[in-house]
Amino acid sequence: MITQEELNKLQKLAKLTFSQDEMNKFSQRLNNVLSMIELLKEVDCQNQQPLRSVCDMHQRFREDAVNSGDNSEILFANVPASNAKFAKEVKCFIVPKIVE
Amino acid sequence: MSSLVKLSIETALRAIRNKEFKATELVEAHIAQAQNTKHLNAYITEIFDVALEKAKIADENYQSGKARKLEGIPVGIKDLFCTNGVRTTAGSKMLANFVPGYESTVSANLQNAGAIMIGKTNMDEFAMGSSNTTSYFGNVINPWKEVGSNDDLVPGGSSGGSAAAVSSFSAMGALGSDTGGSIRQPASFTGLFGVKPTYGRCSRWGMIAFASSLDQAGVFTRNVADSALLLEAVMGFDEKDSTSAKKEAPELLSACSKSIKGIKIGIPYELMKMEGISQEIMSMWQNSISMLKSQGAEIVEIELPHSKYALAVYYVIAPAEASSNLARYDGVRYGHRTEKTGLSLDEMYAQTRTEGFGEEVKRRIMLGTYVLSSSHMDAYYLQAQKVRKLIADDFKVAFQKAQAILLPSTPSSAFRIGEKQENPLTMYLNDIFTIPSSLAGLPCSSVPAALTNNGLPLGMQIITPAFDEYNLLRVSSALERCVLDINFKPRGF
Amino acid sequence: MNYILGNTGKWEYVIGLEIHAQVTSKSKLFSGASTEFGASPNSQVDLLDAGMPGMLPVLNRYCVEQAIKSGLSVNARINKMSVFDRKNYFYADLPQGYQISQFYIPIAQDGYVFINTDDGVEKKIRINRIHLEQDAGKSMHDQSPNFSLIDLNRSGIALMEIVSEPDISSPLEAAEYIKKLRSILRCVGSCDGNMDQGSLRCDANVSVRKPGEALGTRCEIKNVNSVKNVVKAIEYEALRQVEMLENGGKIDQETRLFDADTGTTRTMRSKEDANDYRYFPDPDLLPVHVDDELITKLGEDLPELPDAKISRYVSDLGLSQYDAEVIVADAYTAAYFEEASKGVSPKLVANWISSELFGRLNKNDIELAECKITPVMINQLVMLIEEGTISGKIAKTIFEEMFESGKLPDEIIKEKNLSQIDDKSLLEKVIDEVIAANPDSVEQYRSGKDKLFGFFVGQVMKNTGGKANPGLVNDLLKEKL
Repeated sequence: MITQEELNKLQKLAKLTFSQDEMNKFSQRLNNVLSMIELLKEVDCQNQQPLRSVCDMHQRFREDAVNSGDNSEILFANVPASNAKFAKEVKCFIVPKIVE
Repeated sequence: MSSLVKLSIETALRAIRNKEFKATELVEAHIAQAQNTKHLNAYITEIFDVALEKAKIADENYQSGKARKLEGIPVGIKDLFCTNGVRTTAGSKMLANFVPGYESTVSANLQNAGAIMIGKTNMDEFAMGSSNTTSYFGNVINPWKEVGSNDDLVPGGSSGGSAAAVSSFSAMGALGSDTGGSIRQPASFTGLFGVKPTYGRCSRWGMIAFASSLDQAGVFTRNVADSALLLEAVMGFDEKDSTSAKKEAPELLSACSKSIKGIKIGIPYELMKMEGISQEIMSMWQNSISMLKSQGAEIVEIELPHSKYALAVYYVIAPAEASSNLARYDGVRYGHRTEKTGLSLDEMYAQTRTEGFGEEVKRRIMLGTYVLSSSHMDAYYLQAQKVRKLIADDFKVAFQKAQAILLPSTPSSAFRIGEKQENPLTMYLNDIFTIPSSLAGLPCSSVPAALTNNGLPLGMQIITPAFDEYNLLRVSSALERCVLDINFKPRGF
Repeated sequence: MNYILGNTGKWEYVIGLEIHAQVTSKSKLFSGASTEFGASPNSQVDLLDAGMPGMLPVLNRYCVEQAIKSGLSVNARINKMSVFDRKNYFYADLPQGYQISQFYIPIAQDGYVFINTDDGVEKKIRINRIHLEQDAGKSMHDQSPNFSLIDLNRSGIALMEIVSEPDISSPLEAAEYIKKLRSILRCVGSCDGNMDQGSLRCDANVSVRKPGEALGTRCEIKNVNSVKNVVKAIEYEALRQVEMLENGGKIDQETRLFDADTGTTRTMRSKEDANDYRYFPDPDLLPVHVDDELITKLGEDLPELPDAKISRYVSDLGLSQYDAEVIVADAYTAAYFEEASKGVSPKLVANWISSELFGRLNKNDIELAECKITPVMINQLVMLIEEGTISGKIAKTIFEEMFESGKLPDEIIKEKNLSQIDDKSLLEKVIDEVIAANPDSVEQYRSGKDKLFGFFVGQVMKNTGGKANPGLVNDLLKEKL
């Protein structure tokens, strides 16, 4: 049901990589689930509203006030060990060089 | 095994107040039990030293008359809830070394009421699973075994560790989470009382997100009244969670001794005709109906016509939300990052995530990405949300006729570890009874109601209208009273 | 309408602008971290803004109100129910792996503004939507050879995205549209419109077509940081497209970056083609409901909008269209003008502001708020002119001094002895001296060279340091000559 091309697209979108072997095993299992969810197409939902809120509530508002200060200690406590020293020094998160 | 670990929470609190023993002794006994039952692998992180310190403080509080509602009660906390300064892994390699600098609202509530965390309990990775066999930290083993067999059984999932801890007496109660059945199903498999309150009752702040519109914290205990005590502490409005219901947490303990005379219990008879329900489950169901009738309840027929689509709806919506919620795990700010060097940003992301996530998680992320992708959005995700509304409306109609609904929690008893692995669908069917009420956000519980011929526990599920935890516990207690003659304790404990 | 003249004939510009306007809130859209500009890296980052596990968004009321006000001020329809959706993609400056935005049902739709086109005609530019969304963090690529650094201070700040229909037909119209929108947002107070600080950013969607033909493929030019650069970017891009099409090429739909140094646009290497954003309603948030009462109240509280103010200045106060537009372009300038024109001729005040004052501000590259001349000073100056105490020429000298020193006109007049000379006898004395010193010219004038009158006026002015009352000088000279 799901094509190799789609699987490749999904991998790119989800940032996951599967080997060809894993991909074969995986696509079979995925297809099992997909055939199960096909059942949904049976239901006539032409004039049906989607569920927007589980318990019939509206979005609450928050007043515009600053209640969060410098959280850098918590934020940098778990940065990857490989660049922790540099990251804490420059107080920035480190990623591989991006070329725009 | 010390007798102290066999007590109920209610009894233990009374005993400590009456100075029959100290909180420290209680906690020590449970720590010893945890050590004795280490082979069950119920805990990912043990917090024994801190627990003992807290126990000392608990005793001081009792001395000075400052004891809080749950002072000194040892509990397990599912490793899905962020605990300040204590490793929180979500059962995943991705967060194997993650130590949050903040505490989830529900675990804070529990501990602020005096409960003492003795460990973070094991779970299926990122709460995705119903067997606790997908944890990076190894399988959890059910303390229950079939009569005449030594085979390891699953405790259920995803809150398998919490269930195993409470049913093996190393914790008096435990915090778990339920998205599609992750409390009710393990409760059924381990002979415990498990309860998931209405969506919005418990704050999700600090709870690692799996499927945001379904996730709810809940508790495991060995009897209904104990859950009342835990829930009273844990439930409540949190302004930091937009989906938190602005409703006062109700008093619940009194519900546990209230009669159910005149209460209308709804039975979805057409579900009895479903394929694959074992004879034992059917007997338990029929039996429970009679028992509740004998307690004065009125039995009515109700319909849940769209529940046959519930599994499909769930396996579109939950993976969709999960695929988005798990996008933050990219190795940049916390969690696992690949050791491979010389990678571009995108390569680093892909390598990190491929290494850090287990198979089931990756499968669900791919499924979720698929159903949300532009060419499939309308057919799957949007359609699922519409059918979801139909399912929720079914319950609203049913609750015009009945005040509670009764049906099994699971289609079978605990199965062997390794069984049901080949086809994920077989695993997904574990949740067939629990998913409809999850989709509708309703409060529900699993009450131990029978033992199979092999001596394994089975649970009956009760569902009540939104925010009616009071009647949920009321009917649950009534059913519990009917099976007091059954000893829901695993052999050897 | 402005055209590009290609080798094969005229080409039309088809331009749509997406403006990202930072809301003037103190805290972020969904978290309580501060939005102040210029803080040290990662010091204004709430746990939510960093995508920490278990964190949840709660909506800032002020941001919703500002979006509604902005929508009302561009004649848009406010949606009483709107929804926040997640836009899912991976990038280093996006810690959650998704941006919370509004895709399916935005807060406001179907508005419009009027701008002046190159031909001086008024043109309606339709606005498709206004929605709220989170801003991303900042990535810095120059601090290290192998790494990029991420600062999340900006992550989560509220943005209003304002999307126009492709009604804009020239680079100058684009500039006018941005300026008009900016002045409206600043007037309403929802955004400070500061393009150099990045609180107003613009992406331009540009395509070209031969008149009467179907729409061409468009390219998106991202993050152009000034009105001038928007004009340059559009000009370059449109020309690039025309050249490509005329040489038989095809335009690829892509996102391009404008390089301000070279004035060119280039393909963005990092953006993947056709990223599928998989928009779906954010399950951590609920539908946003606003009622008629709130919308009405916010509408009533809106200040006088720029176009209305310009009309009023022209019809009621007699300002020229040009002066009115200059003054109203900025709420601060408009307030300045209103103070300066208390009790004196608004037309005169407007003229001084738009020509003399603004001329000097531009030349010295400073803002009105930084200038030493206060509204009171202009008010006094104009009053003195109206009373006849000083001539226009003297006023200019005083103005110069006011600009440099920030002193009041009265002070300057005293210090520099610039009072107009109205003393008849004194003037007569000076005139007599001038006549005596220039006998030949006097004779020439008396024998018919009328033009020499100006020379005598000039001489009198010179000898009185420009302070002589010009009217009196005229009369007396006529008598004496």
